[in-house]
Amino acid sequence: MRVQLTSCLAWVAWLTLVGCAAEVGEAIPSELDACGFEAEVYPQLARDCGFPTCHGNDQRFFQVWAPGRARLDESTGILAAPTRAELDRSYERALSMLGSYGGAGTPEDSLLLRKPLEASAGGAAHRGVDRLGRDVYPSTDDPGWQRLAQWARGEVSCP
Amino acid sequence: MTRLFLFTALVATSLPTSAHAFSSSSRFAAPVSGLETGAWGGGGGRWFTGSPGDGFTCAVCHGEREAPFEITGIPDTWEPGSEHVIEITWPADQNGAVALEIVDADGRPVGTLSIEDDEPDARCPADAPATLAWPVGDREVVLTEACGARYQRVRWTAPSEGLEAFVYVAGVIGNRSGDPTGDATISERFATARVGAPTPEAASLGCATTDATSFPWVVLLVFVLALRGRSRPARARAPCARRRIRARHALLVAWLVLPALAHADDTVSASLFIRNDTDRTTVITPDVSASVRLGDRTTVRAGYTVDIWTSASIDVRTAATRAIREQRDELNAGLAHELDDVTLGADYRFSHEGDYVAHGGGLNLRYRFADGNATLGARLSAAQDVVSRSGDDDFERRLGTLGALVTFTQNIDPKTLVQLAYELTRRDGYQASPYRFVGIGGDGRCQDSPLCVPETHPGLRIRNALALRARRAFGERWSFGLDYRFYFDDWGLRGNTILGTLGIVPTERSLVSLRYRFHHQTAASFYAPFYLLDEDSVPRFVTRDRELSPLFTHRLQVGYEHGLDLSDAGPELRLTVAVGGSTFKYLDFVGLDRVWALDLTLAAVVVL
Repeated sequence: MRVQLTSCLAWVAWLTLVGCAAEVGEAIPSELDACGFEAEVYPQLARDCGFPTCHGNDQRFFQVWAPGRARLDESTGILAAPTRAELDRSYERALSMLGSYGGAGTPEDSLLLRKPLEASAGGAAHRGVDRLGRDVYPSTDDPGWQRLAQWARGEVSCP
Repeated sequence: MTRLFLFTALVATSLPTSAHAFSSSSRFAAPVSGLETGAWGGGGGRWFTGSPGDGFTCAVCHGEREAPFEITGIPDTWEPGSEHVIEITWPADQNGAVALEIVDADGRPVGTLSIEDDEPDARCPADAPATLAWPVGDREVVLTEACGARYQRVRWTAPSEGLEAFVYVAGVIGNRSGDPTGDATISERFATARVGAPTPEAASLGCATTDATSFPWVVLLVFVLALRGRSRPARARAPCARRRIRARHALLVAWLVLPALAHADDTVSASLFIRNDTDRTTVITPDVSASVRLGDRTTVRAGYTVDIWTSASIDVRTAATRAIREQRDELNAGLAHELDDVTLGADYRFSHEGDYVAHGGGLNLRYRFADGNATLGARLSAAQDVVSRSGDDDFERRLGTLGALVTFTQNIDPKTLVQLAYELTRRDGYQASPYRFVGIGGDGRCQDSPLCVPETHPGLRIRNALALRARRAFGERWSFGLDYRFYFDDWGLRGNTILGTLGIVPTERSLVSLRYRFHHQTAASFYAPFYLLDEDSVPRFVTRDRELSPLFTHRLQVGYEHGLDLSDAGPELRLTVAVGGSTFKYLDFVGLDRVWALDLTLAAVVVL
């Protein structure tokens, strides 16, 4: 019995020791270059994501509102220039997508970059495949994906 | 004047209106951004034909309501150099636009296309061309814009090389609403082959953007559902009937097995727990279990529990989803063996629900000493959970749990019992909810927050609990118990729980119990009702878990248990009914202030 008790107490002590304090750090940046986003990233997202049945839709967590696709305010002309509210919402939701389940660390792990990427190239599950079953970007070499990645890494600034 | 106005209105309404944003062919080629040109909203080079060069179709903007296009002239087979007139028509009163592309399996153009638009119905009303061939890199797209033309006709000359060709047709009938939504569309794919060549893969896909992949998944889903219907109850169809069948099976198995093993103090029990609260959550938990002694020293038990959970709670509403119905099935089994003053035991449980699978087990030790007046107990446990996310095949996270519990129980005198307990739990892995998102920069909810990120908790949590319990009998019919439990963990959460129990024995075979429980806790260190955006960064850990917020609860339960003899010397039946009420006060949780809950427990235990 003494042996069992000793073993138990040692195990308890080990559990306590390995239980260090919660990690600290950053999950996503609270801000990335908004001007660069509007010039470089927003058109890309509008082109590839902002369709009414896809992310030009307020039922989606990730939203992209853009001319020629879906307008945040229905009274906005379909081809009118993007409104400030549309740019802000699209920017904020893109920034949000830099988070990831479990708070993984790099932009490449984020939902923004993994969702539209083909699974075979490291992408995450995404219902937005085309009629041939392909995700938006076939590989990380795709210029569209590269543009998003550069912004996510903070490499895009105001032109 | 009135006549002029009416005429103008009549003419205006009879003319084709802009069916969608891209009523002009050039819009598809134009850039999305108008920063340089001033013209916004181009296709950015997407033509939405659905071909390999551009897998999205018109449906992504215009919806999937089927449009009344007719397509003729696409040959099943062709000779090299042969010519085929392909015509796509739509009703004369409809405002149609259509794109066509003929390519090989890799998306490269096959053969040559020439437009035939000599007739007025193939052109715009001002005799302008309605159909144009657009070079798109190596591709060529023939597009008829929505200007009032009634058909698209092209002459396709088959290639001198190659064995197969695929014709992609995408079209829109505008509903004249002024925006892309609500229109009718078509998206077709036809496979053709050179004479004598193998027939290409099956033709004509539907218009849905995911049709190419959804069909196998639908088949797989049906197959899985069928399997689930065999192995465990399905959620969708006749769940109540299935649960009844399952419960009957469990009882049947119990009754078939028990006679051979039955022994004094063997028990079979069934219970039903129902809970409903003001946060629109209902839980129904039926449970069956049996405990059988094998010989004089060994006891085995097994149980089966179902949690049927329906909710439109604040969590669900925040996620902007409809009410959720989940079912968790749990099997558990245990074994205990007595060795004089020591009892050893082991147990295992397995639970499964749509997005959560858990395995867990434990080893138990109980040591009686001091003439049976003192008992030392210990338990080591381990569990492994797999968390998934409905609708996301890629999501899978694990959670491992190790636990230790030490108890010491002492009989102070024949009427008084005290117990000390300490429990340590280490949880390592994914501990957030894959369905909860946290608004940043707003009130904590995503709806109006500029940022909205997945809930993220630390991966490691060390939980500690200290408990002191006391029971004392007063006279022959009264007893009173008082428990205190202090909880703390390395997430900064502290909790205090007090439980008072009053037992009254009005008759020899009945028991009335009254239980009151109070619980108070502080918040986890990283919990905040809302997270600010004006800091350098978003905190690494963010949560919308109300169980990590400061709160207190009160709970009161009244129970009645009565024993009956089923025969003169046979089994005893113990019936229990208990009604409980709880209130949860959330001191700092946006969107939810207080929850009231009512629960009912019905239980029957047969002591054989």
